[in-house]
Amino acid sequence: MDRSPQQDTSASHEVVIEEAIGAPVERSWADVQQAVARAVPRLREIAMQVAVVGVLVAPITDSWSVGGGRGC
Amino acid sequence: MVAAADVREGVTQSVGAGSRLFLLFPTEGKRNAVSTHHSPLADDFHTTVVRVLDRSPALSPPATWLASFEQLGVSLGGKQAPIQQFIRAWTRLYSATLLLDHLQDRDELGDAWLAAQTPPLQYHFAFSAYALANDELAALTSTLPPARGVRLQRLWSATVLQLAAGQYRDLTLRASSLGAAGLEALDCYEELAAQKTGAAFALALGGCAGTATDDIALVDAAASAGLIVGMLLQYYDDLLDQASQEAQPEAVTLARAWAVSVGGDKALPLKDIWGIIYARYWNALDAILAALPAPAHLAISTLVQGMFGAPPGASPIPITTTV
Repeated sequence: MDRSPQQDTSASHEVVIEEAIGAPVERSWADVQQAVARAVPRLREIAMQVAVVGVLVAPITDSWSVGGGRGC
Repeated sequence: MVAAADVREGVTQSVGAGSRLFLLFPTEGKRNAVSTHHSPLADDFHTTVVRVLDRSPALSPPATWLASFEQLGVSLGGKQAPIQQFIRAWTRLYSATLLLDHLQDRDELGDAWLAAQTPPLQYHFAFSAYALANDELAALTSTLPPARGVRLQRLWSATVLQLAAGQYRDLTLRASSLGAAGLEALDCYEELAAQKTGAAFALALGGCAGTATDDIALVDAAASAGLIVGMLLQYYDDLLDQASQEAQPEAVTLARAWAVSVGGDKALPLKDIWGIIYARYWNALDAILAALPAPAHLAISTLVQGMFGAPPGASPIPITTTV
């Protein structure tokens, strides 16, 4: 088989691509989802806590303006 | 601006009698040149789609968001030009999904010319916006180091698939089915928010980071922060839009899911629901941002406070738009 410099360059490029496509890439998005799931309390848990304990601190924010959403 | 204005090199080939097929082969030595010289019809297509998108502010993300995205990418060592190119791609994607959502929900489009077009053409503009986004991404990834380009492409694919799944869920899930066996209302809603809007912002922040660096830990932290930001935006929009949602009794909303989960008699004012969630999510976001260098942390904090104001009980951080 003719191993010209052009073919060698292509082959090494393919190896780089294959390495990049492998497990670390696939793992990355799953890691993101898992990291967020670990960090953020479930809405259900927040709602239940509030229902049982009540609102302990008045959750006032300076950005509330009903009617200003994106409609999504 | 968008690559539509670019004149790109390439090859055309005659196919059959009178028809021409545009081949999208990059020319040797110009890997960034994806598609080619345009026929008058192709020019008309590009010009029209770009005009439709750019003249419709309601379909465009706020400039302040984009400034924070750029600040994030540059703070992680990225050069300005590729970061901006990624942001252009993301902006087209954002417009595509927002237009699609408005059409599917029969919402106001915010542009009289667009609203006057036929539904098939309106839907086609959504698809075309996505085509422009994808073209911009392809042009960008061909200039990045190969492994980085592939990672960015895969992040794009994974998150866009989430967007599609979230929109499917939004179109098929009914408020009256919340609380049915096997469907915990707030769990369903939370997952919908993560897919529909969280994934878009995971891509925005993760993509800017992924354009800038090969450090997967930093990219993951930025994407995780984006996922949280997007979920918050879905909750916030949803609560703000409650009045218009009264005409859509089967739409799955945060307030409806909350009421199903805790019981309607324990429902809270919407502002209180928002404040409680924002405070809890802010704490989680702050922990995730600790993995990022201070300028990147500041870029995302600035973005969040620009979107939602200072979190309850926290002192506002100084807002900066400089890089």
